Amino acid sequence: MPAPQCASCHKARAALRRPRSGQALCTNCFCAAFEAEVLHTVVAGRLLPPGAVVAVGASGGKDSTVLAHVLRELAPRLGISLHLVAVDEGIGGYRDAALAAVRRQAARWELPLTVVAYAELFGGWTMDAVARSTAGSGRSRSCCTFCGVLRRRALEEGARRVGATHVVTGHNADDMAETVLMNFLRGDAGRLARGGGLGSPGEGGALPRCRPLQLASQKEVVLYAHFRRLDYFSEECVYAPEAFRGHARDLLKLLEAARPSAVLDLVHSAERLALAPAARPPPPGACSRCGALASRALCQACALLDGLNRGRPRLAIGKGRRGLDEEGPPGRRGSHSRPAPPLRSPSPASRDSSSPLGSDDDVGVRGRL
Amino acid sequence: MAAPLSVQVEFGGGAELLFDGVKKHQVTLPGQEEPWDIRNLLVWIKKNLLKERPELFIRGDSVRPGILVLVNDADWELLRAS
Repeated sequence: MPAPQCASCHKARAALRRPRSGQALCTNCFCAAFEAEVLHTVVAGRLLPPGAVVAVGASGGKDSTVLAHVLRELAPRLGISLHLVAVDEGIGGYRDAALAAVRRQAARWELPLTVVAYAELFGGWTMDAVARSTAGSGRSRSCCTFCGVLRRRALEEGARRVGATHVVTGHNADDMAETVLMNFLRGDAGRLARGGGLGSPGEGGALPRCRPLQLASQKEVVLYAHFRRLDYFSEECVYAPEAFRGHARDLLKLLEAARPSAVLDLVHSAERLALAPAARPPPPGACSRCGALASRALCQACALLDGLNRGRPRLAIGKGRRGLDEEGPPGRRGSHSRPAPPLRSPSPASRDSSSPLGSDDDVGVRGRL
Repeated sequence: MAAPLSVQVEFGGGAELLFDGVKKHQVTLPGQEEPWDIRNLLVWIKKNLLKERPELFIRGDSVRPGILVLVNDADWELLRAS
């Protein structure tokens, strides 16, 4: 049977039914509605005020491609300027191809592009080196945990280099829902407690960070990219099959098939959570090494790098584990004769794990089928 | 009774990686008893085009959850009589 008429323009045939409203729209009306919703998300949440210099985390993948494309369309109306910031984790064969896609996009969109590399920022530790180092640690490889933490630090650094006032990433509703599931499955009260809200306001020196596509389902992001014929890179990270997020994703897809609104409902549920007093995390202090906001003596990035440098990569992974340098409550600068820290925070107490519902762990399988 | 049918099958968004990286396939489906529909097209694709890891593409007699199917650029959900 042929597709119904578009419910908006009544002229063209509908191309899809929107998951939330069930409304059938043609390609042009859908794309217009998609863009209008991103605009509304940004404006209603006051996420990117006029004059903002916005660093867009650009991986070459479908989400950041759609994000950059839409923000570029909306930029004149919002009065913002855009810089693409790409992170090179040092994953051979994968990241080079993805960066090539970002470079093509930067040229086509005429947007400035800055690339920051793990090797440069983290004392030579590329993801390939981390993966080798964590390979023999028993259990499945945990290199994705490192990548998530280091990536957001790298993005922050890149944003500072271009003088950005705000950072945006392309996380969509499915990513957020997967993160909620992961946090429950891991019993991560800290992250669940920080749940909710559209972004981090940026405490103590960290740049405000938000996710304009947060309310867009992944299916709609994919279809938008398809209908607008956007060029993006869609191979899976070579380490992705080992990431825990894949299990959460499989579960989410099954749930979505049974109940299409489950994805957004999960995100909204997390926003409305209140934790029992005993479960609430302690107020954060400052990392004793680099000054970033931390709930333990060392921030996550420093703790992970510490573990790598000592040849004990599993040191800071998993709840309850503490870095070797911890000598007491967070915020107290212990005395130690270690060399200068690998990361220098430009201002004290900038947040390390900033985004509520953010995926500090697991880079995720963003390019996965 | 279905006559042979010429169709263009396109894979994208990473799905093409299961088909030797080839995105566009011009195929002729053979004449057969049953009329051609998406379900038996998927079976045919699995048998004749798919190069690796069928579990990433097919689950049961449909696509794996998360894979989108468009017919002439319209979501196949719109075309189902449900």
